[in-house]
Amino acid sequence: MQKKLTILLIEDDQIEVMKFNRILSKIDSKHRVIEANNGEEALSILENKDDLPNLILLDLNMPKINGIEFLKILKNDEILKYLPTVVLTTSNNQKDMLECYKIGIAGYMVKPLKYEDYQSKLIKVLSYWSANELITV
Amino acid sequence: MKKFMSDIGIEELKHSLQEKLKTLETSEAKIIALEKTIHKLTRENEELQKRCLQKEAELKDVFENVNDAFVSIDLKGNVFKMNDIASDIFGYKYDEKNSLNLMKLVHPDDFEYTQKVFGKLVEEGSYSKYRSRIITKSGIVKKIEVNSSLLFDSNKKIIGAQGIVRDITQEIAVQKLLEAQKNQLDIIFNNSPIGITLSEEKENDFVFVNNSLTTMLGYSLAELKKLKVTDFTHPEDRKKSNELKEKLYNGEIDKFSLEKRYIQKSGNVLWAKTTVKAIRDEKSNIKFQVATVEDITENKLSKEKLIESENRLTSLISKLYSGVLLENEKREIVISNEKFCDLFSINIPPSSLKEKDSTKLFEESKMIFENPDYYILRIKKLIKDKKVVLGDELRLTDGRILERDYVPISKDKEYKGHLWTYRDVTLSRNYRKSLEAHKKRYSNIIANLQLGLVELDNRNFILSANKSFVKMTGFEEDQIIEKDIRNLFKKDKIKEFIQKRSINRKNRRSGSYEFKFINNLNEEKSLLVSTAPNFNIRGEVIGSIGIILDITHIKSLESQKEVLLKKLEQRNVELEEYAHVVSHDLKSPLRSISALTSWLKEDYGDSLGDGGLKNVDLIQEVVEKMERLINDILNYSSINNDSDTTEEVNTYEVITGIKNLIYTPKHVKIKINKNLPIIKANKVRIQQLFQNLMSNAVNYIDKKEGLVTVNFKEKKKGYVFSIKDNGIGIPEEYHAKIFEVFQSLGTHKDSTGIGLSIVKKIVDMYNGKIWLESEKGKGTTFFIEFKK
Repeated sequence: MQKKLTILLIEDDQIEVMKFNRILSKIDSKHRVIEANNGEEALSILENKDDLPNLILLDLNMPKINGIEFLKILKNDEILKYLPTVVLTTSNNQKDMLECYKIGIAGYMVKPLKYEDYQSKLIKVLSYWSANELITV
Repeated sequence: MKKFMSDIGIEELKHSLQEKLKTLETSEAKIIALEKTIHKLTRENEELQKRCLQKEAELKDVFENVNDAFVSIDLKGNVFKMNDIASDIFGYKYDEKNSLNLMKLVHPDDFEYTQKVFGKLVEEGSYSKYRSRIITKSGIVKKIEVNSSLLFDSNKKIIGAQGIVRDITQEIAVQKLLEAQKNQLDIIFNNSPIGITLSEEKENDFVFVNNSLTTMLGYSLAELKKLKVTDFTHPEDRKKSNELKEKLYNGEIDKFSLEKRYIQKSGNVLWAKTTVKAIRDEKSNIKFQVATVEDITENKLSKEKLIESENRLTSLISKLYSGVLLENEKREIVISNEKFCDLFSINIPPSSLKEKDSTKLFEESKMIFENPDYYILRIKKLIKDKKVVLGDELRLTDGRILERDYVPISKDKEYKGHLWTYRDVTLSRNYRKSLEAHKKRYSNIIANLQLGLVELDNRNFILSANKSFVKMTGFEEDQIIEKDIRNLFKKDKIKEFIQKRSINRKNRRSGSYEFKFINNLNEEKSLLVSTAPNFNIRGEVIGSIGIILDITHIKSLESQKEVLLKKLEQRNVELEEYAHVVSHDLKSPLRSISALTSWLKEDYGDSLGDGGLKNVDLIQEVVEKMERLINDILNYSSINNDSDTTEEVNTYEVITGIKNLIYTPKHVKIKINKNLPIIKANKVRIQQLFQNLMSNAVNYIDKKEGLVTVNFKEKKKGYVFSIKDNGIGIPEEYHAKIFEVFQSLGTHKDSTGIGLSIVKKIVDMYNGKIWLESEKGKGTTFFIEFKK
């Protein structure tokens, strides 16, 4: 029995957003997706403490506030630091990976090139998180 | 019957009576004969008694006239007979009126002994050689010897003793004297420092050897008797010794004496003066040989030493740096040396100057001096005064300068001659001059030296400085001389100060340091300074010397280098970041293309038709290839020595891992040597390296049965890995080119042309070597050598 998750997707590339939504609708999921085009936007969404997501999916390469900077802000916040954040990125840069784990992430997923590969990987991540016990902060 | 018996009895009686009568008659005759005999005997007895008396008188005469003293005594010692000689000995006249007891004459000390002897005498019947002292009437102590025996009466009862007494006082005295004399002789012999031997005919028949000789040679008499003199004669002296001995035996000589060496028992050499004298019998054969041996080792040694020291002295004089001339009181030359002849330009050896007249010699050689007449006058004056004069300076016409000492010599206050010594002092007189010349030369060198040189006194005041140093300070020379050096380098002007080394903590003057300061001309200067203490002749510190190297230029280059390095480092980091960003930016559109084409296929696949779908697939393939390319470029650019860590890498494990990871078609087999070594490297890089090579090997196999072999060889300093395939091979003209970026020979779909470049870059990173052997159509072997 899948839980219905509220997911905050922080992604600047519109095609990536499209890919994400297409996969969700394909598997007929009931998850609610909040989209943010960049870190700033995400932060403003997260100001509303009454409607916080269960899971944040974060792209690292973004203009303005990049993913790692965003992560730092998040983890320094007394409330937001409890939100599980999974990094979705094209970069398998060792340095970035170490940095993310150091700050505190719930997962690090490298996006495969092939759409089909990406789709199967994403579905696994989502089903994993919907099988998790989640907290409300 | 009665009648018969009576008849017989009468006849019988008659007969027996007749018989008895006959016997009586014979007895009567016998008695008569006996009476005759008795008579005869009585007469004879009388005769004998007469004779006996006569004999007794004779014996008495003998007894009284016997040569030895005779005395007989009773058991208490009372004399009852004593002859005149005995009386003489005892000093007592004996007669019936004056009784004499011999026991009273015995010396009190011998009394006990005498009693014992007497007891023995009674026991054994006689005692000989009883010796004791007696005191005569006149009180003289005499020594007597008595041989005694017991006297008996007619009933064989002991009544006393008799003895023959001899006065041995003289005899013992003589004996003692003889002994004393022999002792004296022995003492003389044995304590004589000279060794003495007496031997019979043959040389080793030693009759007598005294202590000195046994001590000298170290052999005992018994040992010597087993040896011949030759045995302990030094080998070099044997011949000489034997020749002389031969002459002695032949009778040519009666005596010889020589200095020879003996070998002591200990093996040491003993020098001795030996004299051998032959004592001949009436036929002039040698009866005895007397030899005296005198130890002259010390004499010999001191003589040798004397000769040695004389030789030394002579050679010392001859090699003396000073010219020496010794004259006697008659002004004859006693000794001179080569240096003297040399100084005076005399062309004959110094030995031939001996006994020559020195006045003549000086007269002849006076012309070598600047003032010859004064020279001769001066000599005369010195000899007249006979006082020590040292250090007279003499100038020679050829420019030399001599120093002369005059020393008169006297023995027991009597003038015996004098000693001249001449020294060539030209050099030392000229020394100061040449020293100054040298100093000037070195000063010039120092002044023009690139190194700064500064001399300080104990107050740190500048005594001297060269041009370079002055230039470094930015002052004028006269501004700094006699000034405290610390004023030139004031604290507020010093920018940096690094102590390089301090040789001796106690001695602060030694050390080196580096500092940067602003000089008088406002220039920034970096100096490397090394200082050392300066000593005077007595070894006292009188200041210090500093050597200064201007390293301003070197320092600026160094700092430039540092800046450049930092920049480069930063650039590298930026570049790596850049590569990541670029690859992300390049990959994003590819990802979008991939997604979009997938959707195209999904959503509009039906309307695209077979041709359209095939094109879409091709687009996706190209996109994938593009991504691989980007990944490879990223990999290639991220191989950077600085950021990698090294660990122990088990190459067998890594390569087996690769075998399972890469796609291997079924007709290709991969063989891996199980003994592949453990090397020190970064595991990821080693994986990259072998993965590239092995994928290439597998990918380019065109045979029905493919074989890839991974092997290695251990060398002294490294390992050589080899990856061998039986693929298409690489033509030789490409061997060098294949390691360049984007050089792909292959037509393989996965080839990006970067794989071998990555391999090369990794090998280079570990200072390794890579090369290949290949034959077209047969296969290729790549070799990689890593240092251990």
